[in-house]
This record gives sequence, C-alpha cells and structure tokens, in this order.
Amino acid sequence: MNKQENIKAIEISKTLKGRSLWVDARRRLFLNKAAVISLFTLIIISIVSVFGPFFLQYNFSDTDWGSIYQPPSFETGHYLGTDGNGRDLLVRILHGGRLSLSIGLIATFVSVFIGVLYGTIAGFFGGKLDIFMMRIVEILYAMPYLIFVIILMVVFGRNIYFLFIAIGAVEWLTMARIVRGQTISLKEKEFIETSKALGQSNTLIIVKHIIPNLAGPIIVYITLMVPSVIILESFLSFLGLGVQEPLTSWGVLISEGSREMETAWWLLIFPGSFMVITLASLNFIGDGLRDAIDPKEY
Amino acid sequence: MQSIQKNIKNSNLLLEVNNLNVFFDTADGKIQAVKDVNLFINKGECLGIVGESGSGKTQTFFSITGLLSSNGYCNGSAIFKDFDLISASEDKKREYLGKSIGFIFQDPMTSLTPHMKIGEQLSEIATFHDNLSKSEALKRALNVLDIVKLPKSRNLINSYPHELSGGMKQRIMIAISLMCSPELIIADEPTTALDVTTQSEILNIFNDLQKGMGISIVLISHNIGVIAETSDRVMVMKGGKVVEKGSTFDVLTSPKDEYTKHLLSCIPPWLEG
Amino acid sequence: MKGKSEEILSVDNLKLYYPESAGLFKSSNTIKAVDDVSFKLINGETLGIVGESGSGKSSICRLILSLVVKTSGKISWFGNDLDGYTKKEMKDFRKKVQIIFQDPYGSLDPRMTIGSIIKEPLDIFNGQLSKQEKEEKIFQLMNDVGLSNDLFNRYPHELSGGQCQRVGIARALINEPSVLICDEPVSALDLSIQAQILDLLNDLKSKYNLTLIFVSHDLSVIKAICDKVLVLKHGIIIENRNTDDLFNNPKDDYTKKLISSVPSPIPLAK
Repeated sequence: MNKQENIKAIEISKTLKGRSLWVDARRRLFLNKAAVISLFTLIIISIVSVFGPFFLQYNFSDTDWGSIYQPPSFETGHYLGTDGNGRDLLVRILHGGRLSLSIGLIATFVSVFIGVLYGTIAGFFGGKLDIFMMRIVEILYAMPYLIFVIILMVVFGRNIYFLFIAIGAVEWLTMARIVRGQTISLKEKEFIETSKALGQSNTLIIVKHIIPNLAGPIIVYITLMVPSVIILESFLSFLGLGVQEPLTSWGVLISEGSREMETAWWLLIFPGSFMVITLASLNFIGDGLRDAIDPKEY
Repeated sequence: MQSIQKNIKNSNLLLEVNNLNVFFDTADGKIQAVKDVNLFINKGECLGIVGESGSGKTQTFFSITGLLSSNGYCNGSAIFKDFDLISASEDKKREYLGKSIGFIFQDPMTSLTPHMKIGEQLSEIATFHDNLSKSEALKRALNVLDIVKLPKSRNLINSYPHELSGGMKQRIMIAISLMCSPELIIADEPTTALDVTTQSEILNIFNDLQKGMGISIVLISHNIGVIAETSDRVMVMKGGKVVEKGSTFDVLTSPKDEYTKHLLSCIPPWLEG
Repeated sequence: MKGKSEEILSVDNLKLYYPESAGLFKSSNTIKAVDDVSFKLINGETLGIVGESGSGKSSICRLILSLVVKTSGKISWFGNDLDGYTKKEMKDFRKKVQIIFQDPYGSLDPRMTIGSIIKEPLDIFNGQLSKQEKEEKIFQLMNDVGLSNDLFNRYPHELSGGQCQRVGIARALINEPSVLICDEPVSALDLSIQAQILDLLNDLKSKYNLTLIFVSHDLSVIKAICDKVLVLKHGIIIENRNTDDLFNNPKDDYTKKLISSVPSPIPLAK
C-alpha cells in the first residue's frame, strides 16, 4: 500500500466507533421500566416547576384575604386550593419545586466536587496523609450538624446561600468516604500501575484514570444523594430554619400543611405527594443506574 | 468409527452423553455454546477434555450436572447408570451431584466458604447426602484427608480456608468430593491456578483415585502435558464441537484433525530431551 | 552508547521486606519477598526469571521500575545508582525501561479507546509531536504488533485477550525503550495465542533492539526463549545460569524438582 492509500485506510479506520461501556450502560438503563418511567416523571416535574408558574393566573406571593383556606376547585382557578393567606397552592408548590430541586442539585454538586477531590487525594496517596484526612472527616461526622446549622443561621441570618453551605458541609463527608474507598481499590489495578510505570504524573493519573473509572459509583450515589439533600432542606424548613417568606420550598409547605392538616387537608396532601413522587423517582433512577452500570447478569 | 467406539464402550459404562446442545440467552441473542456433543466414560477410566476458552468444555459438564447459569438451557441425554441427568428434576439432580458425581472447580481460592471451618465443610456434605451424624461424618472426613495426603490433625479440621495455601485448598476440594464415595469426579482445570510442583502432587492424587480406588475422572484442561500424564482417552473441543477423540496416545502422537495438529504445534518444545 | 555485551542494568543485594499484618495477639512477622538478590542484565539478551508463587519474581520487576520502594540494596542503570536520580533522570529512565503485565484486560483502562491507550506514552514523553505525527506512530505500532487499524476506536472489553496483550505491547514500545520487562505476559492466554505472542515478542526484540526480562512460572516457555535464567525461591536466587546449562545440568535440588514436575505432553504408549 502506498502512502496515499495508507492514509485513506487510516481515515476510514478512525471513523469506526467502538461500543463504550457507557453505551452499554445506557442500553441497560432504558430496559428498566421503573427507571424510565421515573426519568420521565422527574423531567415532567422539573419542566412544570420551572415553566408552569408562567402559565398560571396566580402569583406565588399574591395574598387574597377573600379566599383563604379554599379547597381545590376548578372554577376559581385555584386547582389545588389556597392557604391561610389566600395564596394559590399550586403555584406555591411549583415554586417550592424550583427551590427544592435546585437545592438538591446545587448542594449535591458542591458536595460531590469537594468529596471527590478530597477522597481521591486521600485514597491515592495513602499513608499518613490519608490517615490525617480521614480523621478530620470522622471528627466532622461526629459533630451534630443540626446545632452547626442553627448556629450558622443565628449568626448570619436566614440567608438561602447559607442553607446551601450548611447542607454541602454535611453531605460531602459521605461522598469523600465512598470515593476514597473506591480509589483505594482502583489504585491496585494493573492499568494504574502501568501508568505509573509509563512515568505519568500523579495528578494526571487521578484525572485521566481514576476519576473516569469512579464515575459509575459516583453517579449512582448522586441520584441517591439528591433526595437526601431535599429531605434535609425540608427538615430544616420544617423546623423553621430554612428559606424565608415569601420564598417557599416543599419542606416549608409540608410544615405549614401539617399544622392545618385537620381542616385543610389539601395543604399537606398535595405538597407531600409532589415530594414523595419526586423522591421515589430519584430512588428508582438511582437503582436503575446502579444495575445498569454494574450489572451482575441475570 | 462408530462400531469401534461401541466396542470400547462396554458393560463398565458409567456415563453416556448423546447429542448434547447447550444454549444461552444473552443480550446479544441466543448463543450456542455446545454443539451436538457425544461422549462416554467407563468405570475406572480418565477422560481428558482439551480445548481453549470458548470451546464449550466447561459448559458441557456444567449442563450435565445442573450447574448452568439461569440463562442457559440444554437438550440431549446424559445417562448416568441408567438415569438421564438432563431430563431429571432439580431434586433428583441434587441427589446425584455431590454423592455419585463430584465436581472440582478451577479456582480453589473462591470455591470454599470463607467463614466455615474446614471440618464443617467436609462434614456438611456427608450429613446432607448420607444422613450421617456429626461424629460419623467427622470420622469419615479424617479418612478422606488421608487419601488426599493431608495431615489428619485437629488443627486442620478447625482452620479456615484463608489460612491454607492454594494446593491445600484444592486437596480439601478433592476431599469434599470424596466424602460420599463418588463414582465419577469431574475436575475443571483443577491445577491451572497452582504452582507446577503443587500441580504435580495433585495430579498424583488423581492418579491414585483412578488406579487405586477405581473412580472415573473427567479432567478438563488446556494444558496438554496435564492431559498426557493423566488421561486414558482424550476429547479435543473447539467452538462447542468435538473435533477429535480417541486414546490419548493416538490423538497426541498422531493427530488427525487440523486444529489438534495446530494446538500441538503451539506447545514449546518439552524440557527433557 | 551501548556495546553489544555491555552490562546495562545491575541489581546488587536487593531486599524487600515488609511486616506481616499483626493481629491483636499475634506478633508481627517479617515477610522477605526479595532477600538479597543480585544479578546483571546484559545488553541484547533475554533474561528469564522463573519461580513459583511467593518467589518474589513479580516484586523484582516492580522494584526495578520503582513502583515499589525497596528496603535496601542498589539498582544501577549503566553504572548509575537509581537512588541518586533526579526527577527528570527518573522520567528518562522510565522511558527506557517498560513493562507488560499478565492480565491483558487489567492492564488497560476500560474507559479508554485503544488509540488513546497507545497514545498516552506519547503524550507523556513526546508531547511536542503534532496530532498527525502521533497518530502515524500509533498506527505504525498497531501494525507492528499485528492489530488491525479498525481497532483504533474500540474499547478493551470488545477485544480478545490476545489482542489486549498486543495493545499493551504497542503501548510499551511506542517510545522505543531499551528494556522490556514481561511479567508473565502469556500465562493468562490460550495455548495457540501464547505461541503467537511469544513469536511476536521475538520479532519485536530484533526489530526494536530490545533487551528482555521475561518472568514466568512456565519452564517450557523459559527454555524456549531465554538466554539466561534466574531460578527464584522464597526471594532468593537458587541458580543463575545459561538456559542450556540449567536444563541439561541442573545443580540445585529445587531446580531438579521444578523440572521434573512439569508434565510431559508426550504420552506413554498404553
């Protein structure tokens, strides 16, 4: 083969794509009915939460003293009823959704970022550094986070950004532990040894080889962390430490609703249902991802 | 050829497999791992199965003993002393497996239950199959340890798998399979994970079992040397089919099939002479 | 520049000891994985290291490459003690001494394509080359090791064991090292593939002017391709001789036992 033909043959070869492990995982995920339905549900709830309020006639903070504690009705336009201040429940639920979902995402993202960095460094370098870093994690774990959050809130006021920090400060610990464990087992694999033998720098080994191979367990853990973050935020809001009026979250709505449970059942049932459905969906997706990424056939 | 085969089969026939096919349902469709395999084993003889990965040698014997994974299924017949193993129910199969037929797996490191003492693992099979009491089972266990040339010590009975070397674990596996006096032992690559000196000792044990106790042995291996030193007859498998079979001497010194010839040409020249 | 029979690597009194994990009531034992090992590697030869499990043969490979920290002893490259090497000199050493491992799938990152796996050493040592030049080199290596061009974008799990081992070899040779350490490279492969890979290593040895260190537990393979053999037992060198001498005239009882344990593929007439 002369040089021209050779180059052409190579060009053709480069167009042939292999079937990566992600493609395999995606195929397996879509075979899982529960996961697919949950994925759709989650996407619909997200879209409705973000765009829904624009299509509704009521604003989430509009009070209407003439229509307080109204049960759900089609005619008045208050499809899910109103609360003690005459505010439309549906719109508030959707706004609450925006907040709960974004806290779930952002706080999780922050804790993943910190946790992965911390965990891979501790796990990869091992030795005294690892012991020292993990002692810190263990000490932080032992601290009662609720008191920590209360102190933060009292000192800095009820700012929504501190809510993110408080939650992130708690969740990254678990991620760091998991990542460290995975890194330690990956470190022993021969392809990591080969990279070292090739003279690859430690930073690049972590970035190119360890983190992409951690992605599987990390993704699964993320889908299970998001519900946990949402519940944490709801709990804080339930205790009155979360977002401030007129902003609302599902936690706040459930808190208010539980107080009016006996007379205005819709104030608890509807926000509660949204929350339960979202969390269940996230859990199903997480299960599906775990099966898809690490299948034990049949 | 058929009539000569029939002459070799005699009243000492222990296992006869006819038209065995094994299939698997996978994400990529139906795969046939074993294609129309016929074989037989007489009492007291050692049949060697040679093949590379994917040849179907392990799946053939997994299907006969009911060890196929849940996505596998098979058809054909495997008559063991007048009893068809393939069409039998799960309960019936379990009666045979472990009692009349012993199975030794490749990796001794993972074949033993890590949290059970050796003595317990040995007795378990006797108390299950033969309804022996614990003390009777233990007595039999000590006898069996003798056969596999392990010390009959309290220490050994009370130790855990992780405290033993690979060679010792494999001897325990053989001992376990001997507990209910089997007539046939199927050994799937029993020495592949072992050092060469340990391998030599294990092969000697197999020799003793066959020549001294009259137990039939099926020895699956990709190592031609192992087959040559232990088997009376040999079967070469490729791609799920049997490509050549006959006496070990005939097949290894004057192979007829191209694949067999190719395999034999891949062995590095032997050490002595 | 290296002469034909020049000593390129020298190992003196190498030791690797580590404490066995102590239990609550057990006192800690010392495991001597490599116990005072000394040998020389001559340019252009194939040195075999044979031993059973626990003999220390794999540890020696890792010690030479500084993948594991030695307890004591000296490793010299062209007469220079590796201990005194700066980071840059060490990197240069790594370029010259490469390794292939036993598990063909384990030594490749499952998330990377074959092309990127073979490219990695180029990025490390020859980063200044253009994308075009790198690709040319990759395809040339793939050709040399007998891999079809089509495998460039494939992933390790789509290849057979033999093909994966070839990828490992391509990756090891792309920066033209002087020494290739082969740690049980064919033990996990089928018989017919073993023969292919051994032939390939022989061809590549002449083509790339390599000196090989070949570690194996399989005596017949060692006899077939090695010029000299080290026999190891429990971290100690039992014998260090020319291959023919060793097999025709084994001196140590352990060597004799090893040789006689190998089953003969020539059956006795019944």
